[in-house]
Amino acid sequence: MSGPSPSDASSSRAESGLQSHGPAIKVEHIKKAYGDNVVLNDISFELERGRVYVIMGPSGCGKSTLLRAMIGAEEPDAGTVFIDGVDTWAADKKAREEARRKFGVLFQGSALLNALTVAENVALPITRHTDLLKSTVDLMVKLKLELVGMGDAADKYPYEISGGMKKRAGLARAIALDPAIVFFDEPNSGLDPVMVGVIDKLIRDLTIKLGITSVLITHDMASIFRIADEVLMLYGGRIVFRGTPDQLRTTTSPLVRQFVNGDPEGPINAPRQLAELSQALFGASRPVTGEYQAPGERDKP
Amino acid sequence: MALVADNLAALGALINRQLVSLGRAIKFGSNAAVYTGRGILNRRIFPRHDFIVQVDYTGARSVPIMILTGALVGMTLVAQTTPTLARYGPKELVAGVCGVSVLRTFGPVLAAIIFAGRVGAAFTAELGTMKVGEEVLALDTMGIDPVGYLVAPRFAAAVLMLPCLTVLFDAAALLGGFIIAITNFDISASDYLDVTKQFVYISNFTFGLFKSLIFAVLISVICCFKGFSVHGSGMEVGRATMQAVVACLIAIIFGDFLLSLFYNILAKLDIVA
Ligand SMILES: Nc1ncnc2c1ncn2[C@@H]1O[C@H](COP(=O)(O)OP(=O)(O)O)[C@@H](O)[C@H]1O
Ligand SMILES: [Mg+2]
Repeated sequence: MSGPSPSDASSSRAESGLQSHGPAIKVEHIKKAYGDNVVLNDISFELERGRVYVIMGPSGCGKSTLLRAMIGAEEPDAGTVFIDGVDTWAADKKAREEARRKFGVLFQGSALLNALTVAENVALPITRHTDLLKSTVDLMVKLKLELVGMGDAADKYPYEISGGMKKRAGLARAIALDPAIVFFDEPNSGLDPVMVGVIDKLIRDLTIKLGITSVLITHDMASIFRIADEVLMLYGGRIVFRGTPDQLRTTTSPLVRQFVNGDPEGPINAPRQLAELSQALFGASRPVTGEYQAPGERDKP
Repeated sequence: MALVADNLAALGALINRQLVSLGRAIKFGSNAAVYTGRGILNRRIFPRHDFIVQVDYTGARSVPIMILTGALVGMTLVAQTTPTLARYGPKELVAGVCGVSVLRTFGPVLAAIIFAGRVGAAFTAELGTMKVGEEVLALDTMGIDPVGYLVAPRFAAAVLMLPCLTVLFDAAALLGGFIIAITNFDISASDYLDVTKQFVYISNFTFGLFKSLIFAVLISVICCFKGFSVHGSGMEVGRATMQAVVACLIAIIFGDFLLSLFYNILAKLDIVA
């Protein structure tokens, strides 16, 4: 990608020093393809501070890919991401490290290290980035674990605790360094409804108590309506909807309506059903025209 | 013609891909070595605790299987070679055959193969699972280099432990051979030891250890690299593990061949005996 010149990078950093009220995250013209599979096709948006955002969309539409671009884990083919004014992808490695300290991530499977206890997992980013005394670190860890209601499980190993507890431990680790932004990749997947409620409330509370910006990836409608300030829908490599939960309820877009209502028929599934049918009938993937071709006919010119 | 061209192009693409991943593996390996070196100086790079766990896991727990297989290999070698030797000359010569072949090839190569199957496979499976579970990515976003944190302790443990295990394997094999020779083939202990002293040089042993060091580097780099290259589902972990073990076997046997040629060159230059 063609990064801006160093002077651009430094001026953008200077900007962030001036306006700490600017957007928490600014995504600019991001493109990403895996081979011929264009996953993100020129995506741009800004997210304000102190709010809960949800990015939703069908499975495989590129939500995790977008997340990886935002957290500086996988470089997009084009475009860039500003985290609190720091250009993640144009900046040098040091600036990226700096940007990383501004956010925490709760991964889909919690991504706790199995060789460490819950408390050691939470302590990991703290000991890594600070020179605090062990007693101070222990105190910080205890505080974060209490905040997510995991004070009793500090000395347990990740394989000894349930999925919901893992999520909470992962959340404690994500907020260990008091980040300004927390990303959540499908925080509700694999949880029972009560635990979903617990996690939702936790996210809502943390956003208010700690004043963080939350960016959630989820397609759990109940929890979207419960906690989102604003919803973005990703589909076909683009942002096809952005609005409040109320606007989401009353939208007239057939695409978004189908997703919200969970209708099996509609613009989202139609092409995939045909593709699957063609796959089942003919094996090799052929461009789907929507017309059935008898097996004998498809080799004819 | 078009078919030939197509196949050539496909072959070219295949070779190109292999070379690219070889290049990546070499870069990965040197990265691991650098982190290991820095980890010895700075405990933040990799926690000592992890290193000790790996030493226990890769080294201490491999001791029984190394001794068992070593003894069996030495015993089999002597049992099979002595009758043939006896037909053409003094059967005591088996002491030299056993000593040289164990120290130069059987010890380092077989110990490395066992190590690859036991420890290398575990490296790939563990790291592959961590890759799938986004733990590697999580380390990265916390500003902790996964190569330093996860690969360096394994690399250091393997490089330290495989030569030690090879010494045990060698000792067990030599002892096993010795016991079979004096109990089954009527060779006196003093004759056996005399022949051993005459034919076996200390450089056979030290070069064998050097080989095992190279094998440890190859195994840990290949297996950790394969683990880190897992994308997507858990099923890929199984496939990556299998590929890693196969790649290790090829690397060990091919490496042994090249190193043997190298040894002969050194011998010609009178650097080794
Ligand atoms: N490393 C990769 N290599 C190749 N294709 C990938 C890779 N990661 C994701 N994809 C593809 O990109 C698309 C989007 O994936 P992802 O971002 O994980 O979707 P989501 O999180 O919305 O379910 C999928 O079609 C997936 O197959
Ligand atoms: Mg995903």
